[in-house]
Amino acid sequence: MAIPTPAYHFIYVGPGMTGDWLFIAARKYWVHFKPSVIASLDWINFAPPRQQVAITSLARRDTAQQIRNDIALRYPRAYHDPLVYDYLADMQLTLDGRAALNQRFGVPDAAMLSGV
Amino acid sequence: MKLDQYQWSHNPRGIHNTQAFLKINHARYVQAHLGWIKLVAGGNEYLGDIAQLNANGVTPIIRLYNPKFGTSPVPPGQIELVRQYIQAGARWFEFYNEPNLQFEWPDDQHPDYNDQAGSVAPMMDHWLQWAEQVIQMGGYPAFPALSETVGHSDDVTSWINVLMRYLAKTYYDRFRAVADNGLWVATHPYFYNHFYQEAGHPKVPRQPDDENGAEGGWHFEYPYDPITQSDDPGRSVLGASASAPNGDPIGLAGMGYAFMQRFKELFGGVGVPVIGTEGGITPVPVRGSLTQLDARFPGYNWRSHGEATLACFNWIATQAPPWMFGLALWKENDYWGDPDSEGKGAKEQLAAVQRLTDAPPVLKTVPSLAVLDGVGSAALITPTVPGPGPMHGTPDFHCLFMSADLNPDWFFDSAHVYWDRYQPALLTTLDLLGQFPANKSLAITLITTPAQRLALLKTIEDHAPNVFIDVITADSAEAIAAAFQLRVANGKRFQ
Repeated sequence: MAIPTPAYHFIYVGPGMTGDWLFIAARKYWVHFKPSVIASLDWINFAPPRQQVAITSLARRDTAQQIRNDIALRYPRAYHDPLVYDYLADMQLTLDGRAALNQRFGVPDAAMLSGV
Repeated sequence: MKLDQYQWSHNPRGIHNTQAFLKINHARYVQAHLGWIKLVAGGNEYLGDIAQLNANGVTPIIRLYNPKFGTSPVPPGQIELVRQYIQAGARWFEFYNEPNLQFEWPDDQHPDYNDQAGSVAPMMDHWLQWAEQVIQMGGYPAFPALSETVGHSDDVTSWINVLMRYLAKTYYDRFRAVADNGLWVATHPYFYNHFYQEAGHPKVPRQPDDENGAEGGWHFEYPYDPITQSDDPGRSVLGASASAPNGDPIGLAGMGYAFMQRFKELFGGVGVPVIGTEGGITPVPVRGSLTQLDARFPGYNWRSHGEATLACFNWIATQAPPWMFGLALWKENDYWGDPDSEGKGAKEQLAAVQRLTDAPPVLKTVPSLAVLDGVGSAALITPTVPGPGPMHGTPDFHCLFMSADLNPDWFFDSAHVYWDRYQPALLTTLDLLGQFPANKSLAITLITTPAQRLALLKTIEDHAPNVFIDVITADSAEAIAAAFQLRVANGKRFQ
């Protein structure tokens, strides 16, 4: 699926993830990109219809596959950007890097605009 | 979708298995020329049977068992099992079982059709979500089978009315989409002796010893049969008559008629398959005695029960409405005389089994009718108040929203403990409010500078007047920190 310029971008904090993953790991990323943060996928139901939705999920390896399945099943048209790290510091490194490089989904904006 | 596109055996004869986990006996289903088997399953124990059932012309219907399930959402493990059963070749699935009965609910919860927030809304919300998932996987989801009980809080006609009106008001488009992509209706027609075979005149029934399942003149259309209409003119499944003020759907196809009436009125529906997944002429007969629960109709004896059982399947195949697809008799151990679910008390095989064995099945030809051909009156319903409904107690959804001029560091420095405890969403757009259904409540903890406070409150009020708003007005990091510390210290989500 091409990387979208989403109308609605959500960070999904997966099951069992504490606030550290939002308040420490994703802090700079959130301040830079201002995505909505959700701890339940049910929120996606309320995105206006026919709008592009992107979901960046934060998860450890033990829940990553279930999250992938859930999103694929419930929101097959959404762009899923899964981030899977077992350690907070690794997740923070990735998200801080995206913020520093202004790359919402970890690729340059030019790639996003060309629909790569 | 069209009615003739559903995949099944076209043979209305069915049986309900004895209980979950018990090994099933393929040979007896073939012997009795069955076309359906309703399998209550505890897990994946019947996966290996599906291909053989289909090969034998016996279409399986699966309900995954959960005791006292109330209106709980489908557990993820059940969805995975449904996927596996579909991969094995099953198509027809049920979710919830007689949810209008207290027996199917946790002891501290009580089903009530007058309780929209506690009974009706969660049941239909969770059911619809399940149905959409089943369709996405390639299955056919059943509208839940209600216990055909009359009166009190479990009254079946009251339940079907409130459930369908709720769907019409809240999920008109989604329900129509489900209807057009595989919906069917599960019913539980335990229809007593509400049938007869004519003795030369439409209102004159044969007596039990004269009945013959291979001959014509049978009436299973209760309450629309000539005897009932003569006894109580105008009696119908949902409307009031002199003797049945709440309607009377206790017939083989009664709840099918009831569903289709509302389906047509509200959604512009024509018909979706109806299958009795429990039921039959009940109670099963006792050798040497006559069973006659309703004195308006002849009773039945050991032999005539078999004749009438055969006749009811033939009636479904040849005379019933096109949407009536079959009936799974309750249940296998009663009909074959097996020991009960605890392994005790083997009985005699009912005459009905031999009668079905001796008579080849009559297959049903289903016309190519579109499931939907209009829009229904519910298309005209528009919500009077946009956005979520009012909050009672704890909201269904809770989010935080910060004004654009607020320094986000103030929030990130102070809300960590609060977020850990309550895990609200952190929204950066209010667009989502307008998409909330009226049956869900929403609370917003609004964190705003004094300058933005009134404008934001007005925006929320305009978009979603029922939203509960918990305002934190702050112009410093310290003020925000104090607000969150107070909530955490008091154990209160909102101040």
